[in-house]
Parts: sequence; structure tokens; C-alpha cells
Amino acid sequence: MADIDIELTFKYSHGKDVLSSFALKAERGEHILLLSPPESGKTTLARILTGSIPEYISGDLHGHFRFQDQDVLQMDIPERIKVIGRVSQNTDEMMLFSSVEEEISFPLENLGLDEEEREKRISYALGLFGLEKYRKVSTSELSGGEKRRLMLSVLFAVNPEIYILDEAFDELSPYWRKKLREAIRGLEHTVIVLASHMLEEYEGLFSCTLSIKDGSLEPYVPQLFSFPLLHLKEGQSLLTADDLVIKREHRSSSEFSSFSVTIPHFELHEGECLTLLGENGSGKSSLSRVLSGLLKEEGGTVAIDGNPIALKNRRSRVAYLMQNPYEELFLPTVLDEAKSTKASSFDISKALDLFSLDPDDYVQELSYGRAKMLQAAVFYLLDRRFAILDEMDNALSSDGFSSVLQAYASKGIGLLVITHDMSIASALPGRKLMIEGGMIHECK
Amino acid sequence: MGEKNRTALRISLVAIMTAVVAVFTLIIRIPSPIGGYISLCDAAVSFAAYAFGPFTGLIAGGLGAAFADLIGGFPQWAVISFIVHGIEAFLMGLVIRKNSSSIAMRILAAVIAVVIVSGGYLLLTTLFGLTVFSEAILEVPGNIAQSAVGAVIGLLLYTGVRKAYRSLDDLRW
Amino acid sequence: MNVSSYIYGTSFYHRFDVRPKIIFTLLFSAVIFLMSSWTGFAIAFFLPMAIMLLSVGIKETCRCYLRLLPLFLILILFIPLQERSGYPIWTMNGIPVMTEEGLWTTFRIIARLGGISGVLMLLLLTERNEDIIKGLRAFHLPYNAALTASMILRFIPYLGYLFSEIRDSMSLRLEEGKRGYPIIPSITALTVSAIRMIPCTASALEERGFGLRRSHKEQHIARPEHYFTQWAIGVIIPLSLLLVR
Repeated sequence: MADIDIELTFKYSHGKDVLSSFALKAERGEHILLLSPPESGKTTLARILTGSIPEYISGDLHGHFRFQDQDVLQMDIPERIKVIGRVSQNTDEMMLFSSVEEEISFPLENLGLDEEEREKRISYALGLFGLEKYRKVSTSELSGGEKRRLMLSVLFAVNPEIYILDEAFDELSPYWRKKLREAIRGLEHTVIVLASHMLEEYEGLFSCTLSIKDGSLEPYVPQLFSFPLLHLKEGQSLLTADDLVIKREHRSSSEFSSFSVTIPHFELHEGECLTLLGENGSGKSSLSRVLSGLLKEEGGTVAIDGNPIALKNRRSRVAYLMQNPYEELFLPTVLDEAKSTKASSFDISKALDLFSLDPDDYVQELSYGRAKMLQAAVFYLLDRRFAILDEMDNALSSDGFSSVLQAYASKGIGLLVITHDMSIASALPGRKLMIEGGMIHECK
Repeated sequence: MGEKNRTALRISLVAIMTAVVAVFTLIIRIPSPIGGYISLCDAAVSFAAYAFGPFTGLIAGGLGAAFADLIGGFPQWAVISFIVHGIEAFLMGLVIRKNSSSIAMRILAAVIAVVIVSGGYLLLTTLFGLTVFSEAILEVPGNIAQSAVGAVIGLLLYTGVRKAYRSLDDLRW
Repeated sequence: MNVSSYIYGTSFYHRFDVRPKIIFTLLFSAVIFLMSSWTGFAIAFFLPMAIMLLSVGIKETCRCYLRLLPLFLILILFIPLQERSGYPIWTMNGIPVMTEEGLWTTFRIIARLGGISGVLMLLLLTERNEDIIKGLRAFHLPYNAALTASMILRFIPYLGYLFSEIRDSMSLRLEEGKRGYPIIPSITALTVSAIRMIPCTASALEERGFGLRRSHKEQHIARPEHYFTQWAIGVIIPLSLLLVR
């Protein structure tokens, strides 16, 4: 008998079937990649295995989940801590405490470990993801990538038998993706990585790659997905920035100084596709905020067609699609959101079709990936001449992402694409910029 | 949802609602010339009472206002704020019963908010000897306006949130 | 938004253990209500200010007391209204402007406000929030209450951040030429985001093993040098204020 034996059928109370006779058998210590598009049921699976579903999100669940001789589905959630743990896709929904130290020591105290053992595990796990010096820092001061590393540290400190990493490579820069890859490789415990698109970091890491189709498991068929060539449409307008200095207070404690980025010249043409690369916290998002009028520059000018444009007026010219889509969606249903753009109903139904959205869906019940599509649809309808896509490729399948890009490009919108994925960067046409050590330069 | 471990849910509900009240109190702060500030505190307190009933309202409303005072640099008002906004939310929660409440009940809840907040601060600040009666009287109009506006916005908020988040009522305990 | 008032330092008040410090704060606040002499009130007002100057410097001390200044000014302006029937010490055209009792009432209130505010701010300025919670645990604050307090301190800055993001992205959607942000939709969006997190957070608590341990013993906090002296100081100073005549 296999160590891990899962068979599940599940349906949400308010929706459609998500898993139907999903069956997975695996040996202890196997590393598995589950690769399938958004909304195929990956996060649902993770929540069922840890017990979050059906305890906190109701639905109709049948089946079993056995680990060695334990019937995990019959166990209370806290009792599963030694068997299974997860890092969720949206780190903010799992963060509990105001300091890094409390966050990581809480589960260890619950496990009843003595102080010495706790200390050992805390310093090991923080060290693994480069967070030693953040121990006394407040979690609200961490960047997206640092929060992700903290949640990984928590899981590695608990060290359950089965690790579930839900899109855990998202938000990490190439350096930390490599580190995470090494950490997974060194684990003797079972690891299940859930992902919506292939990353080069996954190569050679897994004993098998699977996929979910129509709610059940099937072997992954490698699709030779080549990023379709973007058809760009020339335009007239030009967004420029000269002698830009951007400062941002990064942390309240004096140990961490504020950082600044200097940009002698930047330009983005309508109908152009520009890619922006750089480590976590290098200033990519700060630059985006300055260009879209959300952050005041320390010095320099931003201009459209040569006319300097004030901070507040940039907001109606440059769309900024933030990393976390929920922060840009406010209204009850998909249709309400689309209508709020004041576009004609013809355009709305066309756009919802284009981004495969159902007008009657409730925004707060959308999956992360679907919410990103809605965010893209809203700004598509707003018809801005320039758009910044901040790590939009995360949580979207490759063809989902490329369809968004194509939709924007065929309107002739000037695109600034921020990504950590080198293969996407190299597949995109146009110039590539890199922010490094407070400076920006073009790379080949 | 099972009945096994409601404690985790209660803790989360109280912690998050308290934070909502504190943030509402702190983010929109119009300093009043008499010290202290005018805020949307009462909107969040009424929302907590409408959405989650008297007990969650009492804890989250009171604690939220107290935390806001501690963080905002007016720690001397924390205890009084806790009592006033706690009682405000408790009584409003008792009057409003989910959707079945009539217009009259809603008006009654708003009146309660106004009376408790303006009267409560007047009574407690003078009773504790933290101000003189004439100064406390000066605060009354501001408190009446703030709590009345708060009760109305709280109701709008409740209607809006229920429309967007359908499982709101499941969280009540 | 910053929820922590903590200012890093190595002053004697920083080194004071959190437990006697909490006792000092509470006793001091209580004693202020029981005092009855001019000297007592003067000490109550100036002692926290002096400690604050020594531990966090002049800038932070000014910041703290400047917040109270408007209230003090109003109280002073209102002196003529107090205790009109008292013994007049300042008259204008035969009408008493200020009475001895009126001056005394106002002085007492200012001293009380300043003293309580000062001593509480002093605690928040010299201890990290999580250490204050740990200290309260040592005084048998229930485990779940301490847990809730820690979580509140995590969610306040997060929701504050979320609100600024929501306000920003609302402004990204405005038509050209329009400014500001619609207040009701923004606060509704903020509340929805917060409420959405409730089940997620409850689940996160349980997935990290909340509820596994039946008993929660207070965590042992190491006792610093001179621990008992600190306790003695923390208790004796406020109580001795009662003796001041």
C-alpha cells in the first residue's frame, strides 16, 4: 500500500464541482509537481488536505486521505500539523502576528517543543530563507517576497510529513527561487508543488508531474508552449521620465536605511512592449507607482508627449495593475466592476468574453487567477494609453497571460511588463530594462 | 461549519473587527480644536453591532476604540473609550436583529448611539476628573454629529458588505 | 501606519523589567486620582516627563506633550468659568475673573491628564508591544486574550496599508480631471477585505496547531539583575506619593 493515498470528490456549496474522483497515490518522500491552469482546483485540494475545507468554507466532501496508517480527514485540523502543512498563494491570508519571531514560534509552541528545540528550528528556518536579521522586525514592514520567505520558514520550521507549496515560487526573485529549489531538493519529506505554469526552476526537481483536468488527476502532457508572438500596434503617444529620483522609506528601524533609485532617462512608446526586471525590493514597484501617479518622485519630471504631467493627472493616463488583484476590485459582482468603467454594454460583453469572465460571478469568491483576469479586463475597458503589469504572470497560465498581453497590445497600449520569469522575459518582444543597486540599465 | 472549534473563529473575528474599528478611528482623523479628533469610529462600531450582534460588538467596538487611543497617542482616554463604545455597540446590537429590524428600530439604534456616545463621554470625563464640565459640554455637539453620522454610515456599510460578501451572516456567533 | 511607539534605547527606564514597569504604570495612574496636595500633583505631572526626557530624549517628549497642549489651553481659557463663588484672586471692574478654587480645579485636572498620559506613553515608548503583552501574561492575562491582542497589532497596520492601496487604486480609475476618492465605496471595500480574512485567519490558527495544547503556562521571562529592587521601586514610588502633603 502506498504511504499517501488520496481519493476525493468535492463540490462547493455555492458552486460547481471542483474535484471528481481525484485520486493520488504516492510514496513518502516523493516530490510532486501539480501543474494546471487557475481554477482547476489546486488551492481547493490544498485546503481540503489541511482541513480548511470543509471546516471554514463549506461544501460537500467525499473520499479519503490516508497517510501511512492515519486517516487524516477524520483528524481535527490542529492534529494534522505533524502530517501536513501548506504555504498559501496569498501570504497575507495566513499571516497572524506582528513580529517575525512570534509568527514562527507560534506553531512550535503548539507542538509542545522545549525552548532549546524551538530556538534550533527557528534559527535554522530563518537562516534557510535569509531572514535572520528580521527576527525582531514587524511583519507589516516586510515586502511581498519577504512575507513569502517568512511563510516558507514557518513551514520548514514545523517540518510536517507533507509540504504543500501553493504557487510558492511566486513573488520570489530568481535568487530566492533557486534557494527554494535547493531547500526542496534537500527535503526527505513529501513535497507537493502546485503551479499554474512551468518555471525553469522546476526542472529535474520532481519525481513526477501531474495535472488536474475536469476535477481528476491525470499525467501532465508537456505542451511545447511557445509564447505567441505579440502583434504590436504602433501609436503616437510617448511617456517619458527624466532625471527621476525615487526615494522610499523602507523600514522604520534605523538598521534598514531608506533606498533610492535614480533614472536618468526612461521612455515608453504607445504600442511598445517593455520588460522590467530586478530583485525583490529593488524599486520596480516604486517606479511603477511614480509613473502611474501614486508615489511622489523626489526629483525629475514625468511627461507625456513632452508635456510634464502632474502626479494626480498621471492616474487617468497610466494604468497600474498591482500584484494583488483584490486590492483593485471593490464591487460585488464582475458585471458591477465592468460597468463602473462606464464603457458601453457592447464593449463590456466583448471584454468579459475576451478575458473569459462570467458577469454574474461574485468578485470576493473569484480565485486569485480569475481576479487577475478581472483586474486586466477593468483596465482594458478604461482604455488607458499606457499600462504597467506588475508580476501579472504569477497565478496565470502561460496562455492566459499571453492573451492578456495580446488584448492590450492590439489596442496599441504601451506596455511595461514586470516579471521574475526569465523565459517570459526572453519571449517578449522589445527592450528589457533591469533595476539593480538603485540604477536602471538596458540589458540584452 | 462544524461546531468543534469555534474558539479559533471567535478569536479571528474579534481580532479583525477590533482592527477594523481601530483603523476607521485612525485613518480619517479630523483634529478637533478641543483635543481628540473626529473620526469614523462610530461607523465601524455600528457596523460591528449590526453585523455580529451585541457581544462581538461590545468587545470589538470597545477594544478597537481603546487601541486607537493607545496607538494614536491619547492613552489617557483608552479606558473611557472602551466603556463608551463598548456599551454603544452592545445596545445597538441588542436593538438591531439582523434583517428583521424595522425602520423604527434602526432609528432607535441611531438614537442610542448618539445618547451613549455624547452622554457617556460627558459623564465619564467629568466623573474621572479628566476635564471640567464646561469643556466637556463643548465636546457634546461634535460627539452627537460624529455618532449620528456614524450610525447611518454603519448601516450603509452593512448593506454594502452583505451584498459583496454573501456569507457574512455565517460568521455570527 | 505604525502601531508601535517604541523608541530604541538603553536608558535606565528601558532596562527596567516590563513586569514592575506595568505595576508602576498602573499604581501611578491610580494614585493620581487619590492625591490632594499641590506638591503631589506637581510631582505627578513632572515625574513622567522627567523620566521621558531621560529615556527617549527631548524630541519625543515634546511630541508627546504637544498633543495635549490644545486641551490644556482650552482648560486654562475656561478657568474664569470655574467655581465662581470661590475666593477671588483676580478681579476686573469688581467682577471676579479667577477664583482660587477655580485655579485649583484646573491645575488638578491638567496635572492628572498630563500625569496619566505621560506615564502610559512612557510604557509604550520604552517597551515593544509584544513585550508588554508578555508582561501582562505574567499577570495571568488569559492566553487567548494575549493571542487576540497580538493579532490585533498585526491587522491594524495591514488594514491601514490596505486602505491606502484601495484609495490609490480607486483614484487610478477616476475619469480625467476628477480628484479624491469616493469614501463609502472605499470603506466598504476595506471592510469586505477584512471580513474575508476572518475564516482564512481562523483556519491559519488551527493549521498552525492552535488548540493542541490544553494548558498554557505563562512563559518564563528571565529575571534581570536587581529584579526585586525594581519591584520595590515600582511599588514604593507611586505609593509614597500618597504621603506628600
